[in-house]
Amino acid sequence: MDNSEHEATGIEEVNIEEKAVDIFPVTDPKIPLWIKVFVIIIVAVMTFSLISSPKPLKAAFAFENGIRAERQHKYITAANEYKKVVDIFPNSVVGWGKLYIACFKNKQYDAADLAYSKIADKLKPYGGISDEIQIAVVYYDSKQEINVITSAMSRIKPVDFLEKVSDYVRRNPDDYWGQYSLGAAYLNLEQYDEAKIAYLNAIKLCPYIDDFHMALATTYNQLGEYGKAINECNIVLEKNCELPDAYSILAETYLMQHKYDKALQSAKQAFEFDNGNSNAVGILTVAYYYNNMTDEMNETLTLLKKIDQEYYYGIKDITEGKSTLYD
Amino acid sequence: MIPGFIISILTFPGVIVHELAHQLFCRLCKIAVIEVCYFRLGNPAGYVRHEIPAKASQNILIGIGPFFVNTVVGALICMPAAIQIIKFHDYSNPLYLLLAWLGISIAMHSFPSTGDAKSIWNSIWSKETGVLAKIVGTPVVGLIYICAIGSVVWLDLIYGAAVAMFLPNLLISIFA
Repeated sequence: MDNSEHEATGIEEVNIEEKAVDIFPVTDPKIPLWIKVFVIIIVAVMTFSLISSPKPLKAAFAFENGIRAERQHKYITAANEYKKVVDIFPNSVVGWGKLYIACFKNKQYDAADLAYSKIADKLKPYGGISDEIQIAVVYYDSKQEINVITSAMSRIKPVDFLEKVSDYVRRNPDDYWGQYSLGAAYLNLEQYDEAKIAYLNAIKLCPYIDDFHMALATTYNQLGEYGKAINECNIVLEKNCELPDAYSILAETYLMQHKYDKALQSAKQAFEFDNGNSNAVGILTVAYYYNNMTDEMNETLTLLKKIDQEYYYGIKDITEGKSTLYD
Repeated sequence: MIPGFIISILTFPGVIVHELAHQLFCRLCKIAVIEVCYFRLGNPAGYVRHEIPAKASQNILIGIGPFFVNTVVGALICMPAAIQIIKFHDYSNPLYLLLAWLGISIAMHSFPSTGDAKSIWNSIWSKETGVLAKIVGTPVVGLIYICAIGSVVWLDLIYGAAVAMFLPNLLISIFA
């Protein structure tokens, strides 16, 4: 396409060049008014673009930081960066999609649900962020029946719950969520060996779900198999090195081993990544207690009271010496 | 094939900025301008007639001036829109869509025309022109012709979109 050109004129310009001083001493042809207006508009638009650019740039850098954090398996950092993106571009499907995945990986399910609700009707069936979301959550799909059973867990007797789950597992032995729920039912009844077998079955069927490893770590703690518990926590932390729940369980393992300084270190990490997480606040409180850090302990205890009343009383018992769980 | 004049109409801001850039570089080189057509429905869609520069370097500068001006202006105008549209797939803001059109329109008219190339060619191969100008100018003319040929397969549009929409995102990816 050759539709604009400058033209150094030919033969006539020889004369022009000779007389240039007389004919074109300093001035060009008069610039038309509409061109002046056009130039003003372009300059104004450029100025507007430059003034408008810092926010998109901030969002773009946050997005890149989020992606880098994801690559480093730091999903808390990634989620914080993606939050900056959606604050600036609230209609960004990619931003909300990425935030959803990061929150999901961090077990921040409420935040994940909120993020998903923003884009649920905008997602395309295939491609781009839809595929990423699909890959992130694919193993988390569970059957309706086991969902109904587990949702009743808190409302029915532990024995009845075990019966229902066992029945389901007999009919669906390859359902890893069934095995996981069976583990939870046994854990609830303090039948730790049976819980361990169920969780190991769940992991054998699907090794990708963090919850299975963390539940198994908790069971190992109850069985006094601390090395194995630490190993399970590390499996999870390799996939998400900022997961507060994994650090909380690790802190609990150290508390049970009476390694209070290590417990404090892990508990602090859990709290650092999510200071609104009741598990993180609770275990940090206990770690402060066993490290004789009374002021800090009272501070986190007060915080826990605001976050989770029921859990607060359990932790308070420990800090008042009424429970000897970690002694 | 879409007729050139339709493309010119759709991207008229780029044509005007292109001619303004020629005029600006004429002024910077102190070359008198005889006539300027900023935009018209014809081929070429715009042109600048100026006196013959005394130095080939001035002719090269005047010829390739729009390449720099249109590239920079197009990229700057498009920057916020490029981030919102390309990186975040957010097409909800009509103002940013307008900026994207304007930026691409301007950037896609960065290439000097074959008329510009002819003018530079005549200038560098005149007897008075030194060897250095010939060495620098010849590949420039070659590049201009390659771009002109490439325009048949929308190289100008590809360049405009790349500069306006993808360059800012590429730079962010590199420097973030």
